[in-house]
Amino acid sequence: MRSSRFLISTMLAAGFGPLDPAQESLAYVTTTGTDDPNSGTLMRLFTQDHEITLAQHRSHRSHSSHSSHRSGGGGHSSHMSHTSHRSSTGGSPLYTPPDYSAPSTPSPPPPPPPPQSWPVSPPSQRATPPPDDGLPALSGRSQRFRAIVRRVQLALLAQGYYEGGIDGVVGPAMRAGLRRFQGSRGLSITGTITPQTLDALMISSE
Amino acid sequence: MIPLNLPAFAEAERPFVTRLRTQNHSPKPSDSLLVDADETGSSFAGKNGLFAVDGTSALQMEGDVVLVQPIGGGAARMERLLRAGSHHNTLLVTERCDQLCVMCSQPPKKTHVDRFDLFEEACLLAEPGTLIGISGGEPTLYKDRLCSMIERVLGAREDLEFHVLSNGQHFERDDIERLRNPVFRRVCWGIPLYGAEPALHDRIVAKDGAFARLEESFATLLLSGARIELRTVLLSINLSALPSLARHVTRRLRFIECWSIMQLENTGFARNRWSQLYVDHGTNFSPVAAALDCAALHGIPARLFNFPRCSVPEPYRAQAPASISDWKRKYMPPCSACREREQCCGFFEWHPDDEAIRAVTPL
Amino acid sequence: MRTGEKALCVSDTGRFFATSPNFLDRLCGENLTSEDWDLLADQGCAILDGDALGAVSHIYGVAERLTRAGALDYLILVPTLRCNLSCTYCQVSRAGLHQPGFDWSEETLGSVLQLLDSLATPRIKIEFQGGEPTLRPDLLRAVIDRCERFEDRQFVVCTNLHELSDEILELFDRADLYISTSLDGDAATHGRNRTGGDASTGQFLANLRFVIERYGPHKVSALPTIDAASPPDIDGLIDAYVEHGLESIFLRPINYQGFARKRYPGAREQSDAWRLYYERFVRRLIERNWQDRSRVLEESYFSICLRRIFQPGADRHVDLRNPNPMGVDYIVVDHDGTVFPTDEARMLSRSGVVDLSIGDVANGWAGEKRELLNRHATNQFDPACQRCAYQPYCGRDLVDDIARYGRIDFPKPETEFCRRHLHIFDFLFDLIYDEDPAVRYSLSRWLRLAGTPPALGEILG
Repeated sequence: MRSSRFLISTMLAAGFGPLDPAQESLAYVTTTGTDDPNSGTLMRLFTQDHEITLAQHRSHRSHSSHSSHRSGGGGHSSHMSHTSHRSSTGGSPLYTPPDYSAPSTPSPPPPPPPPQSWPVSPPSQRATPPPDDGLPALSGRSQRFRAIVRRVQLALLAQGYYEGGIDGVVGPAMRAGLRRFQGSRGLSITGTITPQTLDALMISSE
Repeated sequence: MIPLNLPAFAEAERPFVTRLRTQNHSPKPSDSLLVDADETGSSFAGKNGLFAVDGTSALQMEGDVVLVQPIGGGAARMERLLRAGSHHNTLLVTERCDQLCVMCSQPPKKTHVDRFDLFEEACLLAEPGTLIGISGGEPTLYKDRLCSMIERVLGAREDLEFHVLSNGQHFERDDIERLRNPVFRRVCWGIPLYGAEPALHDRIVAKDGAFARLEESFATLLLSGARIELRTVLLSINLSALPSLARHVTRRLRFIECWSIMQLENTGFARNRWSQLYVDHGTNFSPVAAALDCAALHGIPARLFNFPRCSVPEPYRAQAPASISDWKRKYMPPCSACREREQCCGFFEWHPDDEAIRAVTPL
Repeated sequence: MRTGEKALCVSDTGRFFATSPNFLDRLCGENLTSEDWDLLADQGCAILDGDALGAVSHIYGVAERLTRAGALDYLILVPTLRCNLSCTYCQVSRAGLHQPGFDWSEETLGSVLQLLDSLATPRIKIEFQGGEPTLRPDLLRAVIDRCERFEDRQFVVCTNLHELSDEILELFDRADLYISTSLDGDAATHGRNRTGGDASTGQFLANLRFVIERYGPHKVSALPTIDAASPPDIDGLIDAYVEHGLESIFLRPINYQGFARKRYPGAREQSDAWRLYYERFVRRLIERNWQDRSRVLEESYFSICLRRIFQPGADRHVDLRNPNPMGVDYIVVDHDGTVFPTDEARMLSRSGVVDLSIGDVANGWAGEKRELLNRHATNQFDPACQRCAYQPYCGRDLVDDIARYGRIDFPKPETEFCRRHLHIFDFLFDLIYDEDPAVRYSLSRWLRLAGTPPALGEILG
């Protein structure tokens, strides 16, 4: 559009003249969005550019699913554009930011878990019947653990990597045997019962 | 109740963090794979060796990030730190605290066991997009360790977020620069304030000068651009002062992200003091209503935590979301008929059944 | 204040209270007692020594009142200037139904789609204007389809609802699409202004009824354009909206632009008569809300101004904000690809008054013109505004000033924008301090409160 066609030919004629430097910088600080919270602009000082409204839409957070309209829950429909047909002195677009409010904030964690007194020795979850040999009863987990360890010990023994007892206890001799076995098979040498070690010993789950 | 801590038996001699997997395809070095399982428990093996667990079924723990803590002679405990698929995971970083709130749900201890390194390892294994809670005691008693952990985890994982509970007694002006690190945009500080009157707040947290010190921290946090969830537990002693607290919040604390007004949890100190402290909002909702209206009037988002929906008057019900963590939530028998059950927080597991059942009216 | 002898005091943060003339004298004479100081501090209107949080909170409150325009996420698109109606007050130089050359070219459409692809935000709002946008459903569809990638989408089609083809209905069926239309009042008024004959008016009303039945009233917003010189009967206008289940009415006096300028010489200034009508209208809404609690009627702009007082940032109404960034977070793309900062600016330029274009969609719009506009788009430094109690709530509308006066540097109190808002805020504060329960009820609903507080404003001293 050529300026000669307009009633007001220049911006200067419309009063867009020189300005107080403070006013010059106000426009800049409120419209340039940088990612640097230390850029010194006034509001950025306080907000670190939090995209608060966006954070609410992560669907994995249970509380964000409760966001509806703006706080107050008045059910007031706030998406409406009031420009409708033609803009006018007042009929300018109404844009409602997504919920900056109530239920849309990130889900806070619960108050901390109830105090638990850590057991010195782990309590059994199930009463186990005393074994016939009169030895102390073992809990389910320790039984399961020892059973697997015994099978590993047997397998190591069979392949000549271990000579100790089949007692279900991982002692220094067994660790040494594990390391020798792992080394010979090119496995990571940890001295612990890893899944790769179990596979290599061909110990499958029961 | 979902058990979070299980008795275990392990070959490892030092604590370790690992993720439980029940299937074998493409395991990561940090994974522990299922070895066997039956109805009593299961066993897993990873780079830290073999361990067996009683209790929860293996499938229910698929994907959980756990901490196995040997306690001697092969015995151990396994903490399910970050449960897969749960929105409620909290890491207890210390049991020490410098306040003694009258209703404290996690009464403090004098000893501290530093587990920040293990927690950091666990956080790095978290599922994508997890919001990890940090609690105590008072986490900022170890402010430097805490912030370092947060900085490293959030620096390595752009998808994670933290929510840290803190009494706000230890933030200093010197912290501003550190807190303005952009990673802290993904941290929300949950900070309690129990009243607008210093004496009331100090009394509830059992520390003189706590209110004044908290205001100093608020100034620091505001200048840091920190995100704050203000938390107020409803007690018999602060219910009537709730509207004046609302006024205070809408004047001086406009920068908070939201205000959570919370019903009392019948655990910790509150258990023995239940009849003195608990106040039934169902019979006297008007101070709560006034506070909510004041907050809404001035554009401060507020919501009600741990208020069963049927106990909240209809216009305010939308502000009472399902807030109680899955692992400690229960509903009453009549609740099965309620159409708002899904959006309702229910009750805490340890809420007296007889009181709960009286309070319930299915919607 | 207009009623009673109380004075209204407003701080830079927008916090307000009413007070007696004695207190005001002490305040102005700078001889406040220490109780006075305590009261002021309690209001957040004074900072006592050593109160670091109070000081920082205050700065925060001031900053909260200033607009922070983010990245571009709102586009007003004018795919065609052609229209199938010829409303008496139409402001744009509309093009006839079959005139060529007034629609987006392929290149312009391509540039718009490229622009959409380039946007960094996860959400988008698109408003289709015109002419009559439904004349080009293909262009609407092209834009809408391109927006699928956004997490959060909102489309508004501003239409006269004259024709509803299947193709258009298919677009309307989208849950993320809303309809905005004009409803000037009862059939006679509407016909006189817009549709002409009975058949045409009847067709519009049938279509309006149809879409509201199909989608529910929340899908549709409507607004009346009012001849300020002879406004319609208030209850008649309200009834026309209530009949369709519409509860928000944005009273829009005929604007001094386009066709309107030729036919309505008196439109140049909104008269006192208009302001009286406006007040009667709002008071009638208050009465009707009190009588019938099943619905909440509102005058939309009044509600926006009310919320500006209490809830900074609640609405993002682009006409009332300070500063008022131009061409930053939203733009208008015209039928020929020209980019304007606001729809008003587009119309003013098209009417040959002043060239407010800032670029075009293919080549960008971030130039010197835009910077020039933005440097002036604030009330922060205007001497009249600085002395005005309502400054924290008010805004700056450069384009409105140019439309009316040809310049932006008229003394504020002589501009219609200022007079209009002075009136609205004066009226608002009358109501805020009105103890009539009907008033408090409506204000509380417009403020989106769950309950109705006993008082919305405090009185000091």
